[in-house]
Amino acid sequence: MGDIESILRRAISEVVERMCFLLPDPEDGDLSAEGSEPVSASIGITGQPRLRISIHVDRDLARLMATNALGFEEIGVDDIKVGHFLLEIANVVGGKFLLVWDDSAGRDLTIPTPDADAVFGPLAASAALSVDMYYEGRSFAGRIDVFS
Amino acid sequence: MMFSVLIVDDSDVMRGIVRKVLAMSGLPLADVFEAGDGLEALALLVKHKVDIVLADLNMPVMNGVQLIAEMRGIPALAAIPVIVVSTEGRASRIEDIMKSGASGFLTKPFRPEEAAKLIVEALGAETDGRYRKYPQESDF
Repeated sequence: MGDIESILRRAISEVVERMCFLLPDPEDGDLSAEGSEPVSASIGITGQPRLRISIHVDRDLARLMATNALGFEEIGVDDIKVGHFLLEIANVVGGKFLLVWDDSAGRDLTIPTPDADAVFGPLAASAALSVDMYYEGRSFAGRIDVFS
Repeated sequence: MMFSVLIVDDSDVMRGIVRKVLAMSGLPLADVFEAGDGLEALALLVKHKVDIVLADLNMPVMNGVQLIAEMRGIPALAAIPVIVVSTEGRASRIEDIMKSGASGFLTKPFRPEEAAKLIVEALGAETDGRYRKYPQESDF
């Protein structure tokens, strides 16, 4: 699981940097900023065992990411567009994860969804891990659930 | 010389992201058209002059590979290069997609200079090298 955690962290970092032009805060930095309600998106990886990648992003950070990615000329990135943007982020993080993971042969990504239970149904995970990252003092959490 | 691009993706957010990356690339863009799937793209291609298509792989109605097959069967559209843009980055899958007639492949997320280089190469192959002088990294 340690390797998977590292792959997920790298995937998130690369996607956020390339699409949103943001670098993660240093781990020893000031992470005391109050957060807003998170926005979530999940995507599945087929095969055995099935994996579900979920991201939970502070709403203000998600809005900043969407604004950066779509351009500052994009006036008014509303909540609906932020939600759609996060689905794309989950999709690209999933693609990056598959690209690096050495057990990806024959596996595919599912359609990203805001509801984690909609990926494979409301199943209990046999294992899980999470990574906590911060951008601009705001939380970006990634989680992988394994369904054996 | 300016050229026109068609972005095909079922996500309007992703079309917006690709549009922004193209704007940052320094390429001499004229019109940038958008379509939500392959069928919409075909309808647009017969009405407008488009020099290159950037198409997502997985779309409802008509996916990127199906769009390429359709275009290659229409004489007026057969020579237009199509670059597939996808989250898929595994070599075996890219090889399959290139065999389907794609002119290039961009894995999301991609940098403006990566898009510029591939677009110039694709257009150069089809246009006697008119666009071979693409922006350098120092231009960004």
